[in-house]
Amino acid sequence: MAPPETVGVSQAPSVLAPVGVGTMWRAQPPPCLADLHLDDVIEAVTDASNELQRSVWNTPCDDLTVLDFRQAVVADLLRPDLRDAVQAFVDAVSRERRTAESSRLLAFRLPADLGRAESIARFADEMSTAAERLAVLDPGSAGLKQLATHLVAYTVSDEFRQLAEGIASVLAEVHGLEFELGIQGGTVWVGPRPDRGLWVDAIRETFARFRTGTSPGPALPQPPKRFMNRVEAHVLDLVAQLFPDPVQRLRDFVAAHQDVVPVALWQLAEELRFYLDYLRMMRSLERAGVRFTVPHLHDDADGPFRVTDMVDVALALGVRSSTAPLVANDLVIAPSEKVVFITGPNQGGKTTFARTVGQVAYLASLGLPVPASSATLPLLGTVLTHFPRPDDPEHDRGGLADEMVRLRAVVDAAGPNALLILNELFSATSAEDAVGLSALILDRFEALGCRVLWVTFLEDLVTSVPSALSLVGQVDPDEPTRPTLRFRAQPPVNRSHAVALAARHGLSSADLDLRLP
Amino acid sequence: MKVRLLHPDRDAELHPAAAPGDPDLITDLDLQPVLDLMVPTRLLKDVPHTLLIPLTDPQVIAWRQRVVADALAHPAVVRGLFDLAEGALERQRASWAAPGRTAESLLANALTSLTAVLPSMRELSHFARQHRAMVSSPGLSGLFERLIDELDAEYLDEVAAMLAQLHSSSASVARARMTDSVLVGSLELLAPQQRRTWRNVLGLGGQGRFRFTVPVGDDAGTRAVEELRNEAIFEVSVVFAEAAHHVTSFFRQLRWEAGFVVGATQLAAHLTAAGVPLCWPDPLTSTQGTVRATGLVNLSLAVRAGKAPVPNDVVADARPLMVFTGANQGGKTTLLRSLGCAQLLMQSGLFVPADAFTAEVAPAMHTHFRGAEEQSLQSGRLDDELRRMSSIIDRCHRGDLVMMNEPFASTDEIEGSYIGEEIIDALLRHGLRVMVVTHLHALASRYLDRPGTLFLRAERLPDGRRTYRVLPDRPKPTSHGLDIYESVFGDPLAERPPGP
Repeated sequence: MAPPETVGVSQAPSVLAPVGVGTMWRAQPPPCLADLHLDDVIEAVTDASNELQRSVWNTPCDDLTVLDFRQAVVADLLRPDLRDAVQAFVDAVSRERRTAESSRLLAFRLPADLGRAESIARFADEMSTAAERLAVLDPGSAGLKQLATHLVAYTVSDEFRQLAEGIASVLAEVHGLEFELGIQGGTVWVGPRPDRGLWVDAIRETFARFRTGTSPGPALPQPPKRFMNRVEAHVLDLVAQLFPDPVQRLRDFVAAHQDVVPVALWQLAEELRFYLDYLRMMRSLERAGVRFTVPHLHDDADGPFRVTDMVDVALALGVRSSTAPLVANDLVIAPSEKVVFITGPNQGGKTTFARTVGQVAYLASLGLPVPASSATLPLLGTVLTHFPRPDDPEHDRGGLADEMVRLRAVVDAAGPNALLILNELFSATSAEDAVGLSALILDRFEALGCRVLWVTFLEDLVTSVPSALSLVGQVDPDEPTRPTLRFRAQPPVNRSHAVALAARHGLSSADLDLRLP
Repeated sequence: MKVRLLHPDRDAELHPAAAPGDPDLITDLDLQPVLDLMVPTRLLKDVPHTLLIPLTDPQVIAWRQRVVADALAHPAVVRGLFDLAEGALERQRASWAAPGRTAESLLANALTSLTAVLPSMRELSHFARQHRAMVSSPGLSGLFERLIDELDAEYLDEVAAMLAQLHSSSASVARARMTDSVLVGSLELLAPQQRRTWRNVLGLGGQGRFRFTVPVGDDAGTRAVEELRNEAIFEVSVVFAEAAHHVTSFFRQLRWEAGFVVGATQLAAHLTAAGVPLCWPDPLTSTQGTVRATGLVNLSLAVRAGKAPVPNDVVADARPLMVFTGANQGGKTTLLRSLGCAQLLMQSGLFVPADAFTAEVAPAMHTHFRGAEEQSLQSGRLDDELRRMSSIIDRCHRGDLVMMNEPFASTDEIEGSYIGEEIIDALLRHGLRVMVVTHLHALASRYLDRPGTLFLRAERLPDGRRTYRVLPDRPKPTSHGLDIYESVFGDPLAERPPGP
């Protein structure tokens, strides 16, 4: 596997890390994202063209100062007033950049220049507003404080002043222009401002005496919507000839100010989108009943690991309009329990559970809120997964050998701060074999000191590691064939639900005795 | 331009929606012949339904009475107003074209409509001047004053000139401003110049006129110019369309209100020809339960028969409940109907077929009469009846008048009386007035000792003949249906034992 590439190292003001802390952004997503279904989440939440956002998502972090920094920004952005002000700033920056791009494509001069000028004026206005708002709202995080300071510095700078005042004056001149426009047959003309009155006024006045106000008006067509057409553009060119001086001034100003957004602001806006887009998704899920929390992070690898009411966020996003219930689960791991086994009935939610834990760990490592009601976690900069390959038609792999190779890569990448999530290893071989192989692998993990979450059917494996935490998927006591999708810490159970399932299909031994010849 | 014939301070509602109780009201009070008589022209069948919208303000009632009085004295005046309004709308209808989607077509339609109706405006103005001196009601004289004042010759010439300008202009010249959008915004059409020369129009000569012409074969360009022009004339088109609409609305309103008054004159003429006395009723705003009528006759009987029916007097002072009992076909229901119609006419600002009539105004009137087939059937219908009663209750307010004819007779007397008493008591408690015709003696007698009840009994002479007079008298136990049987079947029943 190629080493991670870097996209850029930033020393400028940032909302993603404290000043002076450089970050090596990864262009490629870590392999665990697909297994955890976080790739779907990222796809849903971010804009594919936004490289910076994607790189942030691709780069989990295990530096507590950076994570605290980011969580502080999140806390600020959970305030609706601050969030709205920041969103307005980000939208203003994107809009200005977009307009600058698209106006290059317009064919007609005066309309293009006017469009640019109006966009620049709006941008200047929005920057002033953003600077004011952020100053008033007084963010608590170092990150947003930087943004606020930077914005203020920008809006009081000479450069900005000249821009704002210049564009306002140039536009005012052009917006004030009045002229006569005549149309007869196919001929259109423009001339200097006329001094006749408006016909509308005369007509209204004449017929005023018939207006009683009680009768409803007639059904009127909508005012015509026109888009810029050649004729109008031509008219504008005539107008430019009629008023050459103000138009030239406008032209000159716009030409001199092609790129108006300072690089640092643009960068900050892009970084902020990482937070804003995620928080927007979070809000929509909260409305559907999913709970989120900012996890409490600590740097003790053997320290507490507690999550309550966690749900699979990818499932939540996908099930927003479906009727399948989202089931919340808790996970509480004692310091000595480095290994957690998950067993239980088919379709009992084991994979979902494992995924959820992985998601929580990964999202925490980005400094984001996690889908749970409370969470206390150690720093887990690396989440490694080993799931059955989705492109295999059955669970069984093409070869045990392939699986071993993949597993080797996982083991190599694992360190003391890693979380490994293993989903049904060694199902291509006999259970006895599998138990033996698993024990060997477990020894390696113990030596590495990493945490392991292992979904398995091999109950014998579970009982062979007494120091592990055993979680078992529960079934409905009245309907043993129906799993509740919840997990409880207990030793693994025999699959007695299978007996009930068999009876349902007339396959109990008593039934079979009657059915078979 | 206000019409204000029927109300001093607002326009009458055109084509009002029927209230839920209206069909019953019309059937129960036998109003259809009256409504038919009041129709001014075939196409305005629902003008007379204005009758069913009760007025409760004595000042408004007085306003309308005076207009109707003027009309009775000078029927040709109101008829003339009506015909003129109808004529104006005819002219508009003849010139009507389906509206298109462009401002251009909106303008053209408005122009055509206004041009068609201009002669009617002149005629109306002339008519008002001619007949102003004849009328004395504030409603009619106010209208004529307004017409004379606001539709004077100078004004109408001004309108004609404006229409002519619109017809003839081929160039659209607008004032334009560069606004916030990149589009050339806010085009406002200029008033036409007083002197327009060909040179002016084409922008030849005169400095500072920059122009271009779209080549003849360029369809897209031509369309683009059209769009620009449509925008330029849009606001003017809208204002014109509104103006045309307001003018049409005025004529519609005039036609409606004059039409109602014309209908009233038709009714009056018919009644007078039948020898029925007409009086102007006096509306009261007290809420004691007062009705006083002298020589009251039944309106629809008069209309149907073309002669004056038997008159009756009713004096109810502080009697919110009136109970009518007595011989079958003795005139009870007829009197009930007469009172109902009189109430209705009074609250429409019209005359009443009586020598004198005064009553308290009621916000609404409700009728609950048994249908013809119900008279002969037993219970099973009780269910239907109770349902109907219930929907009436939903619509009741304090001060309303409820008229019931033979209620709850579809069950036995004890049960029916009990139900009836419960309902009547509740209505009275809540400040409604009740008039009930009943042969349920048990019901009637429950109120014998209650103050506030007026008992009326259909008169029956000793030999069994009815006089159709209903006089104040206490209820008696039997109804003399035997008499009617006898008269129909002709059996001498003298040897039979006295009936139950």
